[in-house]
Amino acid sequence: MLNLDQILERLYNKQIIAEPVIAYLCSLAKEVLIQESNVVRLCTPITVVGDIHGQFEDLLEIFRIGGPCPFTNYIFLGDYVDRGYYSVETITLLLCLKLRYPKRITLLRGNHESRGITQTYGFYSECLRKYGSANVWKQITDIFDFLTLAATIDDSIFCVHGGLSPSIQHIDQIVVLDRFREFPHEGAMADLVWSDPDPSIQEFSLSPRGAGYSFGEVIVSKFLHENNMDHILRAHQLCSEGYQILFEKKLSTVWSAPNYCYRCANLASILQIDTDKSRFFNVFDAAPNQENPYVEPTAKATEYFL
Amino acid sequence: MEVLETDLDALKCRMSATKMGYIDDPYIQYFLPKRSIHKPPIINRGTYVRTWSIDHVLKNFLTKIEGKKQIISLGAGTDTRAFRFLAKLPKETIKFIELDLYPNCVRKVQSIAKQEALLAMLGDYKLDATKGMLLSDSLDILPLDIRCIPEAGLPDTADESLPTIVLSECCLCYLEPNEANSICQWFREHFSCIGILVYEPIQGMDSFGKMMKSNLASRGIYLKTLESYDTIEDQKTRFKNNGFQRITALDFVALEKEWIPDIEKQRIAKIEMLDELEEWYLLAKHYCLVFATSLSLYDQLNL
Repeated sequence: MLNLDQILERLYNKQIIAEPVIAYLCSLAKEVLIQESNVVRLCTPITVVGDIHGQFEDLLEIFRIGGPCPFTNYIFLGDYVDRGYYSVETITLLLCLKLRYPKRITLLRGNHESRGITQTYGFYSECLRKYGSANVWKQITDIFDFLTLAATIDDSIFCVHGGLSPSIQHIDQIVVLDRFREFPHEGAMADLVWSDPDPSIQEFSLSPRGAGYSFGEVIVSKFLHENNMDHILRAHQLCSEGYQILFEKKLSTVWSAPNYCYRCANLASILQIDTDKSRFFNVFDAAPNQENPYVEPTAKATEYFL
Repeated sequence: MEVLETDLDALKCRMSATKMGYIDDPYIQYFLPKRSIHKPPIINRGTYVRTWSIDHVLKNFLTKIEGKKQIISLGAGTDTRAFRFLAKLPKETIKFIELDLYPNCVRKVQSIAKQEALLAMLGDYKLDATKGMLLSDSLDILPLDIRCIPEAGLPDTADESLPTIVLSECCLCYLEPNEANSICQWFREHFSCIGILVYEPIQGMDSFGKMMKSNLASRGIYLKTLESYDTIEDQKTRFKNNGFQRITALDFVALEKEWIPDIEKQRIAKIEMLDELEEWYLLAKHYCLVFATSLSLYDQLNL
């Protein structure tokens, strides 16, 4: 049987993992993830990480800043793949860590953990380029169906990738959803990963993204009150300063992909929550760029209008 | 020269946008590179907004003004705009003149020479692919380093008496500011009814702008005017100083919001969903369209 520690060491050294090993990891991961509730209950101390989008060097930087797993507890809010050039390495490392330390790391599903989106935004092409076929893409996107949708921290902080849904007033409604499938185009499961807060409105409004909803302060207050919670943590939206706090500190966005797409020149952050529930946004910049033998240097590949 | 490559980059963007259905371009197939290319949705959207907005200004110019009009396209490269317009508007009233560096002209004229469908659109023509030269009733393609214009003027086929728009779709921005401005001033002085339509990057000073300069520098591409013209206001002042009396300038966030009709917005939103709107606004804020005209042209356009 393959040794998870050996696979982890290869991954930390940025070595590519063979297709049969990925198939093996996925089959193990399914058994672990399937047992998780749609809303996982977690405790502080914990570090919350937002979108990574295949920026593997920056994921390694996160472990340098926040401390290595398992010595730090982590919850990742989704969007592991697409846009960056190292989505395969990113998702493989995280799945491996989940298998090795299942109680120390939680992986939520983001809107990019989807067959359709990954065909448009880069993960599919990356798999083709690195493995010569779509097999790895298929295995990993099948695993996405098993990722959980939400979490709570100390029964007081609600964590989700995108945001709230007009179909969900109580967390118990999320628990009873059937999550083991591709995202439907609309409904609660889609809303949870596509919605965005909007300070200019009070209630729900159609999202300019074309999926999910925009939601305002009234909705946030109602949800927190209804579920006896005091904060919502989410990711999903690019933040130039790495994070954003809205609605009189009732909601925060954590964004963990610095210099997003090697073009946006934004900062990133991870949110460190201590046992006294104090929240600290640890802000960081892009990791020093290192060339991957499989992919051309990222600066030259970054796209503009010429 | 890496600046020559920028045409290929733009061609790939246009090809991707055409293939996905953002742009209708029956002629790009004649200039295609060999591989099929799919650009990310954000790039397709930007290519669409760029193409739509330039088409919009030029269509207004070509339809609102009576008589014969001229469009001089600087650094035109493989742009198919001339063919797209000639297919739909009365040929006898339009003359396109495309100026570019010799290698680009050779490549384009060679491609045209092979295609009956394109040659049929030109009227009477004379073509020399080795010289990169095409002369015809509707379209001239002439190799010229545009930096020579202030000293040597334009080729004889250009008519200074005609209402003219000079188009710089990411061309002048690769020149030194004084070179670019000398060219603009030369046109203002020699043409009585003239407009300049410029599409180029702005906001080079913020962190996105600095990253853009650095990324492009690693490809040997330098946006030389970006240092001097940071904001929309800077661009307006620039063209006022170049002698133009009426100037409209806006960034692509404003342009998409104010110029593009809702029905078009809905159409392109259905083609591909943009997953990150903040990224689009950030990118679009760093590109602008400037339309600077003489009073005479402005009055005729009735804007």
